[in-house]
Amino acid sequence: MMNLKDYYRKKNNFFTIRLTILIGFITGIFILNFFLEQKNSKIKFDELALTDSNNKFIEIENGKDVHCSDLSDLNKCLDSYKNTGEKKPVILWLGNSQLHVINEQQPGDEFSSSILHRKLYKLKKYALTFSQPNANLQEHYLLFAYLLNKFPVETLVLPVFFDDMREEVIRQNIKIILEKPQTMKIIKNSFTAKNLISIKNKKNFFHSQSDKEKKNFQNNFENFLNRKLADIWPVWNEREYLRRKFLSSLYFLRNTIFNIKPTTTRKMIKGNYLKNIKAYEDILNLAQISGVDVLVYIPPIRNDVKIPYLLSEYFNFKKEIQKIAYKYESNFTSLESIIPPESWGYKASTNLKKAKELDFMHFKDKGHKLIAEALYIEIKNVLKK
Amino acid sequence: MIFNSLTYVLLLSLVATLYWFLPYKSRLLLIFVSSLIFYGFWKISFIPILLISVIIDWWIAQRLFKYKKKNRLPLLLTSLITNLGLLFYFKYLIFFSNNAIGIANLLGAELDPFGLKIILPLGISFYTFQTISYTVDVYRGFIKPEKDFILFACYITFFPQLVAGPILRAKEIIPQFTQKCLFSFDHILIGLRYILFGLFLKTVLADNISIFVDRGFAIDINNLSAIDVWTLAFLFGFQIYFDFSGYSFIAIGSARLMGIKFPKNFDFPYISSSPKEFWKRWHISLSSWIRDYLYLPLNKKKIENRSVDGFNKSFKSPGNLKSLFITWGIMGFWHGANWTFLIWGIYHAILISLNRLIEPFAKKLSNFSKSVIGVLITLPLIMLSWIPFRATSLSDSLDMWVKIIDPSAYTWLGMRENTYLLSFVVLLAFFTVYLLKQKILPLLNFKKLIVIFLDIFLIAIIFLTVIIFFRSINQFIYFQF
Repeated sequence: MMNLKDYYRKKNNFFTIRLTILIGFITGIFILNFFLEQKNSKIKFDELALTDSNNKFIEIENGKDVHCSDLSDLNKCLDSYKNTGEKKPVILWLGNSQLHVINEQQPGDEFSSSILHRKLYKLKKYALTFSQPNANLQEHYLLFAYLLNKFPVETLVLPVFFDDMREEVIRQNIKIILEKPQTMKIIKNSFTAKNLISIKNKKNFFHSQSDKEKKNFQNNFENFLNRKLADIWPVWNEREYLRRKFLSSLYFLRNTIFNIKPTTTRKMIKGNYLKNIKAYEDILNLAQISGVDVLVYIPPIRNDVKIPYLLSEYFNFKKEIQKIAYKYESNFTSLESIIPPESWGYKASTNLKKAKELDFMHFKDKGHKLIAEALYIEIKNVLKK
Repeated sequence: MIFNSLTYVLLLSLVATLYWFLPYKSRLLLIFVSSLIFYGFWKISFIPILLISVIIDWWIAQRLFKYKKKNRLPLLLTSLITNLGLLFYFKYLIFFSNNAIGIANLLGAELDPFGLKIILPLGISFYTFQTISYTVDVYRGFIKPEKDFILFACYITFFPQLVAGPILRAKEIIPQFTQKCLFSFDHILIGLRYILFGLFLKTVLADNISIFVDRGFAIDINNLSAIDVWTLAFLFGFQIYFDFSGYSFIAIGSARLMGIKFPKNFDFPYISSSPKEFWKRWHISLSSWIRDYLYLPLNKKKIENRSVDGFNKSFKSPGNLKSLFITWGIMGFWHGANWTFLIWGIYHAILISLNRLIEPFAKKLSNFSKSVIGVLITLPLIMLSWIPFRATSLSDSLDMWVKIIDPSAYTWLGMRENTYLLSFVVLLAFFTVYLLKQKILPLLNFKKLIVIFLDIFLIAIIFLTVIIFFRSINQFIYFQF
């Protein structure tokens, strides 16, 4: 930039510098407005990898909310449960987007959570599902501990996805559980809780304001100015969308440049894997202490093509999950192969080439029926014990 | 108030507009009052501490000028004790008392920590150094004391540089305040460019890199590989560079909107081919201060008295090594009351000492080889120095350093792939921008249309990304120093 300044000075061409700044600003505003005109408010940036081929929404079964995501919509599920007027034992099913996505959904298709709820209701059980995209086991642990205080959980159904063992981020609507004294009382000595608290403190190392700081005069004034500016210039209010759009464009660009596809092999991330394994143990331990039966299962994966993992890593993972499940006297099953190839689908491109891509995680309607049926049988076996 | 906030944009716009319409005296008053408002936005109780420092140094400097030589030293000591005493109380008392209690307990005493609750006033390290430089310069006879209190107060409290520098010398700034600057669009346009570029570095680059750095440094060190440690060192190195140079650019630009020129504080530091060169390019005003008020006096050498050129001196006397380590130990502690900062300072002293040892051999190489080999060696070494700067404890820093000398720690990766990718992209972008700016653009011989097109394109991209990412979520890293 300084070279340009020198140039302008040397040439004594000051009119140009004014004009370029002005044109630069106007061009910037024009581009911002252009992006806003293209705004698609349906895009869920947290679930970008799902693409439009996968429909996702939270299921309502016979007027009841039986499938929620996290603390943001918990009250809906809680109200539905209370409205039944009975205190049916709860079968709690935690999972990721596999539970709340139907690949290439058609009218009349049903989610497995809904099917399972109906089936178990006849057995006087209340199946309740919570799922978040790419949910990791540390999140499941926090949520499970929190829900124990909200519902009479009898059985926990826990799929352990190898994919999600790479994840470490705790989303805000789960992280707030760390501030709930009632939950912290029961988990404070666990590895996961201690680790998450220490991370929270480490992250505050250089910045991030405390709650007290957030309420000070400067922040109040800043919020006031933000509101005023948004009134004058609507683009200001849309910056969250623009920011996410910008970052998602980088995601698509990265996938294009490095030819990253769903079939690309994803290696295990040692640190995250170990943390999630610890969280898995914490879940089983908490369940054992609380008298909750657990059904652990290895979730279905598309096996008509090479899976996107290192086979040795995946094999060891399954072995370890099974071993730990038995250590805590939990029930274990593998549902890896229950979904036939024709029930798996494709999704829209996650790069700029626009070609359809294989979907390893989400299946069609028939797959949901199959998994609900398989789990129903397994849960019945657990209940018999 | 922080630079990356609408509150600051509003204050700066109002002050910079009013400034040009006011007569000379009123301009100074405007700067002084607006600086107090700027500072008071954090905590109004910080203002008296700042004013104590300003008043004492203004008063002492007047006396220093009038008194005979033998009576001047007590006055200088009064100023130093007051300024350094305040700095010690607010910044180091808790640290040293906790350490003293720790040692006493090791020796068998059973003492509880004092439980002191002292809030560090923002920018105290910066304005303390600035006031000290003024008083010492008057003492040395380099400058005459400023009689006008408001003008002197403007020099110390001028809001663009108050909280995190650049640490300016009186002879560079006071003459600019003593003359009425005439309005020119030049000031406004150049100022705006600096501010825009600074905001880009802070809000678009530093704040986004910080997400990856925070996540990486939160990982249990046992689960980090050597490659992860290198990656985090590089990423944090770039985060702190963008953060602090971004701040400096905004400071320079803000001052320029009022016609005040600040010297540059950063000059592509990671292109340095030796640790000595690095300190001529990184936080230039601080390293120049350390040179003139600590290192050269310790070596009884002639003072340079200018906030440019950085830490550029080396002497071969045996006592020099001692002064070098003392200087860098203090430099480290200046950054923060923690042993990690002392380690950081000592590490740099070692690097500079090694640099001196190797220098005679390097002379045999061609300039090109010297530059390339120099950068390849210096850059990783400098990046490694950021580990104690960012790690939360001394043991964490040492554990991370140990990782990089463990060959078995190079066989796996412990972070998300995006972290490595980002580190590589930022490194590549840094060198590309440097080559474009220094080597390729001059070759174009400033073809008018190309320059104009590039300029518009850059301003548009920078402007729109700044608008998108502008959030007052993160403080500047150097605010806590």
